[in-house]
Amino acid sequence: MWEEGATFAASCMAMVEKAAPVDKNTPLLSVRDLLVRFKLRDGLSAALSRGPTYLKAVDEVSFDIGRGEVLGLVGESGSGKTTIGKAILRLYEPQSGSIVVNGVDITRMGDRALKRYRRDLQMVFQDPLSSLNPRHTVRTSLRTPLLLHKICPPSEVEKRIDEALTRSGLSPVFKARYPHELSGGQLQRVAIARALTMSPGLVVADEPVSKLDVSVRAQILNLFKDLQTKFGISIIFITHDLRVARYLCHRIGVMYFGKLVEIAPVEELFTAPKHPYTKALLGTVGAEGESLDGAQVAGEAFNPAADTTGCRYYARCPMRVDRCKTAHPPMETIKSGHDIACYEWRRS
Amino acid sequence: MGFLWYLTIRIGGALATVAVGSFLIFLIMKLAPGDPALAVLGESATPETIAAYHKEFGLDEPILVQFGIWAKMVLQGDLGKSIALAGKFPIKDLLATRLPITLFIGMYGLVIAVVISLIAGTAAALRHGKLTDTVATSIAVLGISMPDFWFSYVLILAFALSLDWFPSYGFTAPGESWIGAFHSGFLPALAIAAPMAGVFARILRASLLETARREYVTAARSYGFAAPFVFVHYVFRNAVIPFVTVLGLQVRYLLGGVVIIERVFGISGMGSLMVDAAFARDYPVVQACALTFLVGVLFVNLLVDIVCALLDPRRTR
Repeated sequence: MWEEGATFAASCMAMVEKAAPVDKNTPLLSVRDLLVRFKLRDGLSAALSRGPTYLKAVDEVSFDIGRGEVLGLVGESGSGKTTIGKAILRLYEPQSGSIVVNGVDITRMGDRALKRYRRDLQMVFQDPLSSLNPRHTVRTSLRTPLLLHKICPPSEVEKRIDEALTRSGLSPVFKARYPHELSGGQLQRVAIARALTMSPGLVVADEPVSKLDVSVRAQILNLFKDLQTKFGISIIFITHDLRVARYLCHRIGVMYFGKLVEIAPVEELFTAPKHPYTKALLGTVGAEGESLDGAQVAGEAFNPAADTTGCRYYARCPMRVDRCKTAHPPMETIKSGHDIACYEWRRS
Repeated sequence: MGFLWYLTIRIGGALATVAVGSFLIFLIMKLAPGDPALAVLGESATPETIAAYHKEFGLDEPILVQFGIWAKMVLQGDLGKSIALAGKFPIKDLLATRLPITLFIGMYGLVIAVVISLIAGTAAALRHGKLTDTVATSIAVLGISMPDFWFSYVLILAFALSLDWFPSYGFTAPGESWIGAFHSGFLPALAIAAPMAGVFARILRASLLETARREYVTAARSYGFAAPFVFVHYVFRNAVIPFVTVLGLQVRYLLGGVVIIERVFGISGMGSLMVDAAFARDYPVVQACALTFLVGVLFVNLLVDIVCALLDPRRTR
């Protein structure tokens, strides 16, 4: 299995490099000042304002992912984690900023040019049943993208599907099944196999275990860990579960209302969080360190539709000062690999 | 469980429903007040002739035996004779001239409804929240809310009397002239189609929007499939299943509508026949019409089940 995995990883890397020969040290994915906004149709603020109102789902977010790295994105629901994932796959059009994959800027790329980069970026979704077409057998679901991207000669498609299923821990007999005949865990393995057939460089996993039974969760998490260690695939792991993130990720980015507020290596984030929101978040899972102060959750939450200029966390922050009200703090590197968006981090 | 097994079960179920349904029709006709012997023999009936008539047609037997006699006749293709209408013709001949007319109008209306709703529903879903959507949805509500007899008169007033594009009354049977049938049948078919098109369009729109939010659609987009391919294979084919189901359910309203529309447009189809027969207390004809409608509705529902099974693997396995 190990040798097999190694050759598979090698073939993955070969594919990646064939697409764009680049220096090993450049990050696989580089996101700069990404801004994704949605037009609001309803709601009081939209009705009262003259022009169209926008909601900044992702507000000038920057980060890099290295080869074989697992980056966790954590935050409350609505914080923009999923939007980042989908924007990287160009499922949402970014308003501004850039997405660079293997040194190639795909932010404004047209559909036709983009097609050859799409196979490199794969996504695994939250709801396993809804992520496969109910009218298609597992075989059809895996074969259609293979044929579209001409990944291998048609005669080898079956072999490749079998390989991917085996790597995801499923027997090839599942090929003939329909999604409704499989369990949640099996479906998620099929979804992962579908991503693997493409030999991707990056997999965006959007809450892939949150809808699974607890007993199956660990198996799927271990599968992701395997994919990363054996095949060197980079993963963006979107989750609201900090324990899951700590288990799987190398680095974790914390999101709050569209802003990336802190990003750090996983152990550093858990043992020495700097941003007051990260601290509050860790407090809620009962991690060691200072417990949650009453002041930290009190106060009104930020309204993302109203275009406020200050720090997103201002209303709830126990360390706020006057200048937090006037501008959102920029990202600042406090230590190698540890970035934070807070004016007052030194006080904590 | 394979497709053939599913098919067998469904056909068996439909046959059982026909058996139960036809018994209920028979029972209701028997419970209706009035003696068929009196209706046939008229004023000159004596107790002796009535008793003789009862004996001849087995009317003195227990009800289950009578049903058995009738069912046997029907299975042999003999629906009995009309008592009052059309000079005591065999009912079979009566149906042979009336049924094709109603089938034609009904199918014509159904096809118009399906075409309109496919276009309107898809357009509304594709342009969700835009002007097209609002206009299409509003027209659909209008179509659903208009009473069919009223809408028929509006159509006659506008397209027959004022513009003189279509005849206001009567119908050319397809046997005589197909072009004439499509021409003279257009207004009645449109009147039947309007409420159905409204319902179908709304169902399709809602179903398309719901399906488009599914993650497999996002997944397909993430592979870079062309938008029309994603729409046809991932959105439309899944969204059309509730549409087909509702289509099957609406067919029985179509039959109810036919009765009224045929009256308004003066078409001598099944609907008019049933109404005339009921007024003339011609029980065997009413009974035969009800049975025909029952078989028609069940047949269409069977067809819908088969189409849905072909579209949706979840039904058969």
